[in-house]
Amino acid sequence: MKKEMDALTEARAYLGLFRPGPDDLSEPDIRALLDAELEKEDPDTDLIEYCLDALEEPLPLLPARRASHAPRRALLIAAAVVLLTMLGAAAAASAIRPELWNSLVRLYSDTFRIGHPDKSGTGGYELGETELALRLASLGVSPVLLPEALTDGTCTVDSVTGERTDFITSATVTFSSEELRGTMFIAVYAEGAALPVMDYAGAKDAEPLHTDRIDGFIFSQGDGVVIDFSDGRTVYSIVIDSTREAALDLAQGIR
Amino acid sequence: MNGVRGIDIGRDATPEEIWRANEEYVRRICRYRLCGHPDEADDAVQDVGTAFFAAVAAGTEIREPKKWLTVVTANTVNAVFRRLSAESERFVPDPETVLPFVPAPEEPEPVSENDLLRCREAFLATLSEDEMELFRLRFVKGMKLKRIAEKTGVSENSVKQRIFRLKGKAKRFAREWAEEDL
Repeated sequence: MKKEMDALTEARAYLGLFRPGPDDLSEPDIRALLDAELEKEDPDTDLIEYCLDALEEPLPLLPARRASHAPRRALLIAAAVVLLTMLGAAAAASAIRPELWNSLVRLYSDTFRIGHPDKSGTGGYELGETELALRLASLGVSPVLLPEALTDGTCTVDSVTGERTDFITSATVTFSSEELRGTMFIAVYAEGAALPVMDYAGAKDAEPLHTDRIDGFIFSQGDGVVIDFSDGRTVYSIVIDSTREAALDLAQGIR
Repeated sequence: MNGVRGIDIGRDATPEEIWRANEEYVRRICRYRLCGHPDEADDAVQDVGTAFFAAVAAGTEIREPKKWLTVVTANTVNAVFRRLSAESERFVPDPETVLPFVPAPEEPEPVSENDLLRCREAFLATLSEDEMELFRLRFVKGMKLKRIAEKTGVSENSVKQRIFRLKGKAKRFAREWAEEDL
């Protein structure tokens, strides 16, 4: 009988190895551990693999996103995050409006994660008949929100490229003027494909961005500025090589 | 247990076999460190492979290929960072990184009690004395981290890292074991 009890205890103990618990390292802890190990002259390759495994495990999401009909898919897409360099996000957190807060999956010292809300587009695409919008439509990206500066001659559109997969249609627009250069990434997610979760780490001065047409985020990175927002199942990211004021001007003209 | 990714492929393995066994491991590191730059990550993997075969051709003795590749990968990635910095490139959300759709995995078959028992026995047999002691203290006796730290004379953070390592080992072992035995 004692032997059976011991075996049972050991079986439960063994299963404990697979359960999350208070002794689990946090994601930043794992990243720090991994980065430190990668810098060693005699690295522990097993530890490196454990860290990579742990980081590639599905990420926890907000309850609202858990309610999705495709939670597993969402989790997997969530794992395919983009890392940007970003600092000071925590300071911006208190200024974030509740509805935007809902789109933040997690926030810690130098990283925040944006889970773009899966909701209907708000309509009203005023620049839908412009040459750029029509070029994007020919690539399958339509309807689309655009900065007016890209359509009224303020900026020159240098290139428009597109790519289509079964679930995502994307386009990249590069543009420039005498004052700035920039790139606009647009990705349209098909019904059934989860919207991406984006991690931004190590940049600075992140803050919510509200205009008449969009709600998103703006932050500085290096000498440039990034604007991130979504509209329905279309996710936008605009990177410009200029000042925050110039980026805000550009954002105000999005329609 | 042989067959774990990138490990234990034998002393007589050819350079090609060694590279094939470790390429995915190198790729995972590159993709982790160069997240946001998938093309750079792929290029870095190729650079590491080229460096490996060049070293082999030059007669360099590589006693622990995986460690050697880890160090070369870290150096290669650091060189990419320096170059990107010099070119004033920034991390931008490259659609390539966000876009690929990953199909949902199939639900795993339920594991029978017998399979679980065999896996557990096999796993426990791989543990070192220190690992077994940690397993007993934390998971059999349910001792708190602070108490384990006091008992073993190491910091609480160190205990946490050891548990992380033990859990990682268990998960990796179970996955490999399932692939081989089930």
